[in-house]
Amino acid sequence: MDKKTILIIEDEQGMRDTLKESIENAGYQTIIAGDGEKGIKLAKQYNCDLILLDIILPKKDGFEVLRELKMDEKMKDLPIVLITNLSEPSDIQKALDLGATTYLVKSSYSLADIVEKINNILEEQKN
Amino acid sequence: MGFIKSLKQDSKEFGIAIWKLPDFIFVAMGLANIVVMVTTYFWASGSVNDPREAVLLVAAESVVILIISNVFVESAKRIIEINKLKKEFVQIISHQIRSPLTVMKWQIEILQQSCEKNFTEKQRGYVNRIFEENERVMEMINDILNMARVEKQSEDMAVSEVVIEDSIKECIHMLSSFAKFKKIQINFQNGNKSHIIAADSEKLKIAVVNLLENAISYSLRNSQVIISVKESGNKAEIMIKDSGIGINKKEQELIFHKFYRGEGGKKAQPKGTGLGLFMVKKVVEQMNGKIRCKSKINKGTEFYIIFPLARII
Repeated sequence: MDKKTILIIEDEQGMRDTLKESIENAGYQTIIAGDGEKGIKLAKQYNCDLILLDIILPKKDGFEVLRELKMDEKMKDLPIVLITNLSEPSDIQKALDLGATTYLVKSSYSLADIVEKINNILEEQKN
Repeated sequence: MGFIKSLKQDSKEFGIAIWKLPDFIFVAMGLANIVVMVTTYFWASGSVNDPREAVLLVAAESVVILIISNVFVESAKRIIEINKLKKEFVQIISHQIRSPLTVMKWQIEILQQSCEKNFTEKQRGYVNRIFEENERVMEMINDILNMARVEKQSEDMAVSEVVIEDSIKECIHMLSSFAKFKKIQINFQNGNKSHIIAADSEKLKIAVVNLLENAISYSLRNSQVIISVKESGNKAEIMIKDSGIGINKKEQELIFHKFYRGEGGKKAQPKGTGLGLFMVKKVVEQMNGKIRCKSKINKGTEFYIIFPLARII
């Protein structure tokens, strides 16, 4: 069976590499984008199953990326998980209003929790 | 209308009342100046014989009001500047400092999972210590961020109907890895009822997470923390119970003071900030609730938060 593809849009290398390693170890394949613009380009180019999206990004921030992807008819149902260290309720609300599947504050979650979240979202998507 | 809208936006953004904004002060002082000039002119034209004296009086008053308004506007600008700096500081803490700490936390997690078998007991201890210290720094940062949030005006409260049980489940989930690490079982004694209160769900979570975190931190390994909700008349009561070190009678009131740390707490968790319970009390009171604690040394502590109950489903 083909591996599911996760697009990680994250500018900090340490964070990106750690996420990539854990997600790949969990049996997924990953695509990496280091800024918002590249993230949108790769999302449109590849048929990915889920996007992990940071908020503070160069070129286009996570909210702009989310807004643009959700406006694209082909991608409006694609699960997009906001993963950031901004924990202001106003940021969380904004992301959910824009259509984010869920909002994770990085520092509150272990890698195992994040992988579990991805598994659950994809499982729900299948049903 | 556009002016009022922009005042409202600035007031919300900087967390200060509209009448303290520089634009508002500028306009208000301008209007006051016109009123004073007109009043003085009419008064002077009836009381002063020389028209030059009347003009001089109006001009002098106008200059005084201009100087005063300038002082007020400049002070208001400085307050805005300070609030902006405060906001930026909070953003820097939340993003720039938490990010490397998160990477460290995740890397330690990988280390614990992949290499632990090859470690000696001593090396395992080092890794665990690094993890614990990292968690503590993260906790302190969370306290500072929560504190900044809690200290905002109560007008920022997003009050809605909140199902207590749902918020508790989210809090338990947030703390599940910490509890697992400390080998503590969180036992949520959830009946089949849902208790609904009028609250700000984020602030309710701040209170519950803090109390649960404390209960986990001060409990002995392999013990359990109990959390339950029940109604008592027209109130909803959340109880969080641990079997930890306990708090002596004298300190049971003091623990809610800003920066206060109990003697037992200092020994068990030397690096706490003493802000957690102060914050819990503050958010609970902002939502018309009350907090109390019952404790016995070496037996454990029970915290109760009580809110007016909206309804039960």
